[in-house]
Parts: sequence; structure tokens; C-alpha cells
Amino acid sequence: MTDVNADDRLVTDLPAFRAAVREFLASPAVDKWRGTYLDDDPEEMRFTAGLMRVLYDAGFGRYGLPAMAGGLGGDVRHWAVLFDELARAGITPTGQHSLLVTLAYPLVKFAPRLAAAYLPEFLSGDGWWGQGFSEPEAGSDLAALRCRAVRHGDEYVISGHKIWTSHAETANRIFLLARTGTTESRHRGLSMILVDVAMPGVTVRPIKLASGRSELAECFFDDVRVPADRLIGNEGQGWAVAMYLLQYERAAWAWLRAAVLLQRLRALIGFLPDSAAPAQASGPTADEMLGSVYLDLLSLRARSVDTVRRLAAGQTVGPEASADKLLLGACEHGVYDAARSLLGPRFLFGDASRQWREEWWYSRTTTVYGGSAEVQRSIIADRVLKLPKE
Amino acid sequence: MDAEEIDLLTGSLRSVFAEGGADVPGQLRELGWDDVVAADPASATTLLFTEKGRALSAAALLDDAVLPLLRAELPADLPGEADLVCYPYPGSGTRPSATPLGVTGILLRRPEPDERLVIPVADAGGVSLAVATAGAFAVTPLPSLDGSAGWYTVSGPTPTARYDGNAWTAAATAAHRALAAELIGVAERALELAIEHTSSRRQFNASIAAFQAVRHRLADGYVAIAAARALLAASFGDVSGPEPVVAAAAKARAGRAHALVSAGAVQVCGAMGATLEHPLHRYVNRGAVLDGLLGSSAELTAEFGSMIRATVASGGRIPLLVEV
Repeated sequence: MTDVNADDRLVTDLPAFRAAVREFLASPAVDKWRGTYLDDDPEEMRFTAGLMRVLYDAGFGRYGLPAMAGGLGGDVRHWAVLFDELARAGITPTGQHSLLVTLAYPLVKFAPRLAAAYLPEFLSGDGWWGQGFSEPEAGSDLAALRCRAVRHGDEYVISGHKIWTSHAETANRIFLLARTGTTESRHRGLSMILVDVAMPGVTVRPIKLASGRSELAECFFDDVRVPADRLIGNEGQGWAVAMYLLQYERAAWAWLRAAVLLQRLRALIGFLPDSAAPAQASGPTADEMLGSVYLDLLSLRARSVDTVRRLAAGQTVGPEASADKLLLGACEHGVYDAARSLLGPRFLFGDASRQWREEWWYSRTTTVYGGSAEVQRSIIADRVLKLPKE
Repeated sequence: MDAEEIDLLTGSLRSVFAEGGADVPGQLRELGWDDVVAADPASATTLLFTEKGRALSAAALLDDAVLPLLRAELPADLPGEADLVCYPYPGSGTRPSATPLGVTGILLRRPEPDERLVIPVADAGGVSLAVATAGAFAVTPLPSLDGSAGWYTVSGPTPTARYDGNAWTAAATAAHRALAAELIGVAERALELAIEHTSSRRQFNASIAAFQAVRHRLADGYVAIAAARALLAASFGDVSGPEPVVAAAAKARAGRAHALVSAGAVQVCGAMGATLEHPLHRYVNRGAVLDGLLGSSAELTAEFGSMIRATVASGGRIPLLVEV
């Protein structure tokens, strides 16, 4: 997705981009976001919106997307570099980033007009969007979803119920996957629509996870009237849009998580007592446990680098990307299980490990959302190994 | 190397390993393999050793990958060629098991008495190299889980003349890559055997491979192999960090992938998989002894843990190694 902006060296010269970002992130302009963690998700999202603005104004938060969408050119690798450098500077890539890198590319491809109108607000931190896919009766079996969008003249009338939407409590728009065909049409009768949370009939109710933090929400749509020009792609093309989006989730978003997890691994090691004796008398030693987590992360990056580069080169990513997703799940569990095991009582008790406890619970959801680990294994069994069907 | 070349060379290598018998190195020379290596070392090493693993070949090809690197450090006026590498006896990671007090180690084939061994020695100051004819040592077949590997133990006095051992790191890196590729080949073939068995064997009116518990176990094997493959590819170039580290990571994860695939394959092949008649056991055994060479998955993993802890303790950042 290179761009008109070819005279900007940072578009084509990735090491130069890395160096420039690194220099900027060493400046006091971003000190406020170094090593901060907020218990409350809405509060944290509003806080990190400030970082999105600072990165946008400096320009570094705009690479990776074309000028028509408010970007400065370049491709998905620019985001990978930005995430690595943020983590290196002790700044966690934001909740906004995690949504942006999956939602921006399908919008640019399937609805350039909407991308031009709305992506600049996302890039600059003025707004962020939820991903409204799952429903109470359509989790792993996404093609069973029932939220309906019925065409009436220049509008779609939407009625239904979405759940597990990340950061929806504070999002201003939702990428909604809705049924425009019959229920029997499964994945063929779906359409993607960009819905404003402020539209009459939309209700958002936060869901508290077991940790007490409300990062997810459910969304109710009660005859919400949405202009038909909010369609992303054609009517009935929703599944294709979702699958296109998923490639970016497997690549750019996985890269973001790996950067965050490496940062957390470093924090964990720094938090361990100096002796770091074997966690349990008979269990693996701290070295084996930490080494294994680190090798999981290296494996993910080695695998992901190829996926990211293929996307950057305009190629599509096939069912083998389910391996990336499974490797990421192993990393998510690995880092937090190691924390729990190595910190022992310090994990369970005391204020200093509040963040570890909260994130440990969140990590349990990582092998469930975005297609559960079981679904990923079945995709590999069916489409890569071509085993006899269940 | 493009896909067509890879297919062509894979075909040639498969016939070399199928028909080569004891003279695989000679047949490779005839094939002009040295030119393939010179043109694209990454693809050539990956292909050769993956196919060697799939074929369960016992040819001492690792020596051919490692010796040129060690020879470069040896004095030019040494009488005779260096013919075999004396590898560290398993249990000491990549560190030589030979010390100034005595030599213990492993040879990948039986040497003639006048053939010369290059022996890495763990000295006070690091690693040095010694060279001596095999006749100076006790050389005996090494009993192991895999009797078909054809390895020997060597023991005896350490030669007093020793040479600069700086090349040992590069040699170990080359060996880690080759062994990773071989382990991947062994694991890949074991996974295929498990897929073949479970797809054809029927119970409860269905192929065993149609049961989710079996399918998911096979899928996990695929993922572990894919991860090792990705690390191996990264160890040839796509890195910002030191190559030896990524090569060791590839070896560690190839060994782990093999162990995971083996455990799953033996289970899903049922009692058949535990017989001498079924070929699976040969892949299970071969991979296990390859894992033991130059640092097992468990040893290397603990080394990585200790490395990142030391890095953080000294205020450093954990190396990202792989960058876009």
C-alpha cells in the first residue's frame, strides 16, 4: 500500500523509520505514557487517546496507511516497527492501535470513501471503533449470527444483539457484521456496516471480566436506522470483508501482542527475587520456564514476520495463518502462567501485582476470542492437513 | 531458490538418499551439491538436512557442513586433512566435553585409524582445537535409543598441541541449523505416518482421524513444526540479533517439535505405532538422539532463560532478534 508520498524517505526506508521513531519516543513528549497502567478500561482508553494524538501530530502515528485515509503512506510493516519501538520505550501500544490495525485495512479496501471520511479521527485518537461480530448464539460458529440489517430505501434498519465487543463502552463506531440474507444462507447472507454508537436505538452495556475490569461490552440494536452508504463492500460481501480483516488480525495485531508480551516478560524478570529459585521443588526451574516463554515469543515473531511481509506485499494469507494464532495463544498463556508460577504468593497477594492478576485473567480469553484455539486446530486439520472430516 | 528448483532438487535428493547407501557424500559430489550450497546456502542446508531426516539417513553429512569452518582456523602446514569432528558428548550443551585432562566425545561414523579427528577442547580461556589420528583413541560403537544412527564414542588423552578455537561458535551455529533441519524432516515424516495411519484405520465406523481429539493432536504437531521451520528460516538472515542465538532457538524448537509430534504420533497410531514392524519407532528414536546432540531442547531452553535473566539484570533489553 505504498503511496503518492514517495519522496518521504520514511515510507520506503524502514530502518530510517525505526531510527526516527526511536528518537522521538526517547523525548519527554511521551513520558506521560511510559510504564503507566490504569485499572479502569474507559479511563485508560481516554488516557491513551492522548498518545494517539501526540503520535499523529508527530507524524509517526500515520505511517502504514495511504494519504486518502489520513495516513502518510507505507504499509503494515510500519505499524510493526512502531509497536516494537513503543514497547522498547516502555510504552504499551494502545487499545486504539489494536483495533486500528485490524479495522483500517478492510475499510480502505472495501469502502475507500468511508476510510477517507472517518479513518483520520481514528488515527488522531479522536475516536475508536468496536468490532461487532460475536453474538450470544454465534461465538465460534460465527456464520450462525442473527443480527439483522433490512434495507428500507436509503437506509438499513438494524436489530439484534452483539457481545464481547472490545472497548465498546467508549467506542464511537462499530464495525457491524449483520445478516442481510436468510439465516440458512450462513456466511453468504452477511454484510458489514459501519454504525455510529450515537445513533438512536444503540445501547452499550459493559461486561466485567472475572478480574473486575470491563474491557468488553455487549451492544443492543433496536431498529437502528443507518444510511445505506455506510455499507462496507457490497451487500452480501460481509464474510469476505471479515476474512480480509482477519488476515490483519493474524499479522499486525499478533505482532502488537508479541511486542507487549516481550515487554511484560522483561517486567516479570525485573520483578522476580534475585535468587529466582526453582518455582516448586519438583517443577521446572525459573530458567526453563522463562526460556520456554521467550522461545514461544521468538517462534511467533519468526512466523509472523513472514505473514506481515506477505500482507505488505499485497499477497493473501491462507488457512496456515491459524498456526500464528495458536502460537500467539501459547505466548499469552505462557507469559502470565510463568508470572503466576514464579511469583507464587506475590502473584496472589499484595497491591504490587494487581496488574499481573488482572492480565492473567484477561490472558485466559485470548485462546477464545478471534476464533477459539479449538476452531484454529480444526481449520488446520481440515484445510492444511486435509484430514477426513469430523 | 524458486519453488520449481526446490521441487527438482528435492526429487534428486530423495533418490540420492534412497539409493545412495553408504556413499551418500560421493553421490552428492556427483550431483554438484557444492555448487548448490555456494549459490544459496540457506535453501541448500534446509533441503539437504530435511531430506536426510525424512530418509533416516545415517550419512555423516554434518561433518561436511562443519569441517570447512574449523579447517579455516587450523594451521595450513598440518600433516594430512581433518576428516571427522569429535562432537561434545551429550549433556554439556554446545560446550566441548573434551578438556585438557582428557577427550570424550562422539563421532558420527566409524573412522579409519589413520583418519584425523578435529577435537574442540574446553580450555580455561575458552575453546581450543586439537587434531589427532583416530588410532590414538579408544573408539567404540555408542549404544543408544537409536542403534541405526551409527555413532561412536571416542576417549583418550588430550593432545598437547592446540590451536585457536574461535571458529567453534560458527561451527556450532552451522551444526544447529543442520540439526534443526534434520529434526524437522524426521518430525514431518513422523507426522505424515500418523496422518496415513489415522486416515486409513477405521473404528466406530469412522476414520480415527475424523475424531477431534486425534485431529487436534495432529494439528498441534503441524504448528510446532511450522514454528521450528520459521525460526530456522530466520536463522539464515532475517535477524537483527546475533545469528548463533537464532540458530540455537531453531535447534531447541525443532527438538521440541519432534518430541511433541512423536508423543502424539505414538498415541494415535495405537499399539501398531509401538511395534518394530511399523516404521514410526525409527523416527521417534532418530529425532531423540539428534535432539541430544549439541544441546538438547531442554538444555538450550534453560540457557535462553538464563541469558534473558542476565540481560535484564544488567539493565539490558530482551533481544527481539526477528524484525520486519
